[in-house]
Amino acid sequence: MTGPETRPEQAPPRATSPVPDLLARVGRGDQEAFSRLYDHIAAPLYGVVLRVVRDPSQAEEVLQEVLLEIWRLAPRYEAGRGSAMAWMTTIAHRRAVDRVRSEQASSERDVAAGHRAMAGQDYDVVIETVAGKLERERVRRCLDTLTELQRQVVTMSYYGGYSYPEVASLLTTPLGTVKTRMRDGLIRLRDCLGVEA
Amino acid sequence: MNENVHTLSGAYALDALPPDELRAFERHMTQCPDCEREVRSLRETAARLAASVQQAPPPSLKGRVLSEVGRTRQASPIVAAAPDRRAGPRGRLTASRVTAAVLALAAVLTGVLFLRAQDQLDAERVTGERIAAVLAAPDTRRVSARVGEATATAIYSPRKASAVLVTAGMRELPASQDYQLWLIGADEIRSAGLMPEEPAPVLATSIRAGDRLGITIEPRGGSRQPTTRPLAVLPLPSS
Ligand SMILES: [Zn+2]
Repeated sequence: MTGPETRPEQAPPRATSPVPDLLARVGRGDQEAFSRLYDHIAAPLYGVVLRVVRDPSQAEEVLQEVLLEIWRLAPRYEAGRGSAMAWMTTIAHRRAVDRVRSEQASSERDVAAGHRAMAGQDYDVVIETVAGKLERERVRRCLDTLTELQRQVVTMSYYGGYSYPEVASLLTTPLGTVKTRMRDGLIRLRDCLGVEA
Repeated sequence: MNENVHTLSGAYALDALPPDELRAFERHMTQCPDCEREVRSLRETAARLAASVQQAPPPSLKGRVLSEVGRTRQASPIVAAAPDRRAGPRGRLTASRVTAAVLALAAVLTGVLFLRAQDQLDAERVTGERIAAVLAAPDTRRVSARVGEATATAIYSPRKASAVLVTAGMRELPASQDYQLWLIGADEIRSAGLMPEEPAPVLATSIRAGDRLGITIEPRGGSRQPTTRPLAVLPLPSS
């Protein structure tokens, strides 16, 4: 699994990303900076929102709300509390999850959808950006280091938007096991990706 | 809070907790630096899961978002309490505990609060902005007191006639009871509202010179006048 490239699973150096600086400027009301920030964040945020809500027109609607929320709350972002990208991604993911959970009469979200959301089976979406392709390869490589159950619970909840009790029932696995696997799976993924926080 | 609550960090970072456990864990995090730190790193990890499925949205979105941005007012920044720190006569908190209380407050305001559902957010935002205005006032002073094992810290601005109360470690009450705050003046006692079930800063307004801030346990929904002995009384020194 270790390719000839040196440490391919390392994150791209954060220092070179203009995102933190742009978010700081947005926090001071700079609309021009927001326009540039948009170009960096729209694709990663849209990708994850689309994963969770599944319907492109709803995903676009959710993304629009998320971007305005980022604009509004940017003055309150504190760099000490996590990276700019993680902060914005959290807003997007939480909003997408709220959307599907409020909609679900749980009938719409059947077992089949849950299984589709698992890694590997629903992974062949079109990746349009080079950065996305590299990141996808890194993350996929690290997901491969997880146990089957760890990978299932992490991807079902994150990409599928399922709560851990829902994941437990979809996988007929005890609640306690699911929440433990979510934690140790994410920790293993974190260590494989070399995430610093 | 049982020991297993720490294991919820993974589900929390994946936004996979049902509402009741979400609240319990957020409450836990304000008092568990290990969990807070772990969640931060797991959130970074989850962000990588998002980046790995990136896909460009329809190009028409950008214009719409930018024009809305032009019409949308930004939230005011949260400002930490002024460095001027004068413990009142009954203040017993050390500097680091005061800092911890303010950090817990900041966590509630900046971390947890902003991740809630929109309507909840709107209500909380209004309070959050008023609280931020008190914290940012140039004349704030802090007073702390112990409430059993817990601590209560009031950040008071005479100029704004308002105080923000932050508590840490308060015992959970049965469903039939609430903590109620009181402004205790020389010749009358006024209710300053109920404390929320989750540990969140509470804003007390219309404070008059000489008032003290008291906390009692009352029947659910509160009382018109205190019916139990105060757990703590904090002086609010105007000078
Ligand atoms: Zn903990």
